[in-house]
Parts: sequence; C-alpha cells; structure tokens
Amino acid sequence: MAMSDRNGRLACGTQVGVLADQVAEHAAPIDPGHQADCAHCRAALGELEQLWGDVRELAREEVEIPGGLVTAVMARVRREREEHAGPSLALEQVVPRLVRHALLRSSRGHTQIADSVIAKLIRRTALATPGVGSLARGSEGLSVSVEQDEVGVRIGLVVDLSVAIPPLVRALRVRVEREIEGIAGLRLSTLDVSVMDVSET
Amino acid sequence: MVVPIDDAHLVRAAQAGDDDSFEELVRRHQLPVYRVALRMLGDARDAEDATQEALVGAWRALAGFKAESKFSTWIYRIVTNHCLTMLRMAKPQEPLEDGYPDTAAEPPDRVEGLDRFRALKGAILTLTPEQRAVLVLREFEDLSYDAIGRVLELNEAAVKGRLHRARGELADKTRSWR
Repeated sequence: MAMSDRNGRLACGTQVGVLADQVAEHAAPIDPGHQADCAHCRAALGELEQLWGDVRELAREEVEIPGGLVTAVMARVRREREEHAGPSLALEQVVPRLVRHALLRSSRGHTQIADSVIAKLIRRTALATPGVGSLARGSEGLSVSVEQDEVGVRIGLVVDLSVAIPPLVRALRVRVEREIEGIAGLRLSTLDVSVMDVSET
Repeated sequence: MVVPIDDAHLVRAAQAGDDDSFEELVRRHQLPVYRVALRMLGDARDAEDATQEALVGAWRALAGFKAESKFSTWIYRIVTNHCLTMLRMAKPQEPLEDGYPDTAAEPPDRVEGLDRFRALKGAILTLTPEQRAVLVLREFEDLSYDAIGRVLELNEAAVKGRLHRARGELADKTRSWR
C-alpha cells in the first residue's frame, strides 16, 4: 500500500480499509465504476488480494494442541471441587470487565484511572528496584485489582541470584506504595509478592 | 449407530456435577480456545496458560451458563477476555520479543516466503489487543458478526467498524515488507 496517506486513503480518496473489507469478505465493490478505471484502487486491490491470501493461508495452518491440556485442566477442576465443593462463581468473576478503573471522587469532579495505567506504573517501579531481574510471565508476573481508590497488587518476581530477599521485598513495598499514592493518588490495600525464580546472569 | 451427545446435553450434566461430561466439553473445545489464545498472545507458553485459565474459568462459572446460548460462543468469550486482560497488563509490544522477526529492520525484498508469513503474524501482534481480537475471531475462527458481538459485548455496527479499522491497520503495517 505504498501510496496511501497517513489516514489510510489512496491518492484517489478511497479508504484502504474499505478495499480491505471488500477483499476479506469477498464483497461486491461499493463503487464498481470508479474501481474499474482507477489505477490506485486496482494496485491496492492487487496487494490486498495477496495479503488476504496470506491471511487465509495462516488461518488454515494447523495448530497443535499442547499435550496434557485436558489432564491439567481436569486435575485443577477436581482439586477445586474438593476444596470448594463445586463451581459457584458468577461469570463476571471469571470474565473481568474489559476496562476497570480506580475512581477518585471529589466535589469538583471525579478522576478515573484505568487499571492498565496503574499496572504500568507498578511494573516500571518493580523493574527499577535493585535485585529485581524481571517479572514472571503473564498474569503470574503482575496482577492489579482496583476498587474505588484502593489498589491490590500481586507481583511474581524473578530476582537476581545472590540478592537478599527480605530487604528487596521491603524496598519494593516502599517504592510501590510511593508510586501508587504519590503519582496516582490511590491507596495500596495489599501487596503480595511471590519470588518465582532467580536469574542466573 | 452411535449418536454423538450434543454440547447442551453435556453442559447440563456438567452443571449437575458430572466431571466426565465437562471433560468431554474440554476435549471438544480445547483446540479453538488454544488457537484464539495463540493468535492473540503470539507465544505458545502464554497461550497454553491462557487456555488452562479459560477452561478452568468456564468450569467455575458453569452454574451461570444459560441454556439458550451456545457453549462455543461462551467459551470464546471467556478466553478472548482473558487474553485481553493479559495483554492490557503486559508491557506493550512484548509479543514481538518472542521470536517473531523485527520486520522494520529487514530490507523488504529479503522478507520472502516463510519470512513473509512470520512477518504477517508479527504484524497482527502489533495491532491493538481490541483490533486483534476482532480480526482473530473473524478471519481465523470464522465467526459471524453476531457471534463476535456476543463474544466482545458489542453491537454489530461496532464489530464491523472495529474490523474495518483492524484490516486497514493490518494493510498499513504490512506494506513495509511488501
């Protein structure tokens, strides 16, 4: 799409996204008369056909399921049944809402801070703490829950090999607290730290 | 002739406490769940974690599953939301560090064949998580607009709008290696 501008329009004014929809959905052109004569549209359509050929090929690519998935899931299910006697959560507790916010109320208006923003602040703080190598992957590494102006944090750390862990965790706690309260104006309700691994470097 | 038991029947049995029925549901739906997670997250290990979380999450919430919805749509909703949450918590661009080539650094004419394929995967991973979700559900899982709307809690117009932007964005992001 060498000739589209920053707004995704070709020199003739046609939006690349419209042509992409047409190619992807095998749909009839919205403006067949224009497309038949327009060199820009025809060149873009040619490139999009090639791109969507690749997309369709990728969609056909066989994905291999990791072995033992069913066993692992059912082991967890059976363990939870023993511990809690059965499934009982509401869907909302399993499927979180897409964006959650911390909320600061004031008489002159409210401030919302998305939990992703808070997560970024905490990640930066944790990684800047001496002795912290990295965070564990995925939700084990960092999970943030917000409730009004209170923030609960769980962090899974990979620490440097020879570091003393209790002072590191104390330092991390102070820094995270300062970040959440100083920058975001929120209160840290809980901070749970798990040391998941050591980095050998 | 053995008539296969349908999902609705298995769900009812699983809701009544039959773990074997739930196991059969897991067996049937693990592949699409894992596929969505892999395309969303771009990393096999993260995808495996997300698949486990989604399937265990489905079991935890099973009591609230309504018979009028399809189990497949419901489980898509759980895994897609789980992936979106993971992506929002993670550093931006993290998936790019996990083995896909940095296409910007490659001269376009060297990115051919398999590399072009890998670069496409990489380009999909640079879409915003919300755009990626709608693209994955449509192009890779072949869901209808209506089903995507139920997965992402959007109306049909919003699904089409987001898909339109995702496709335009993908066309734009892939032009450097074309």
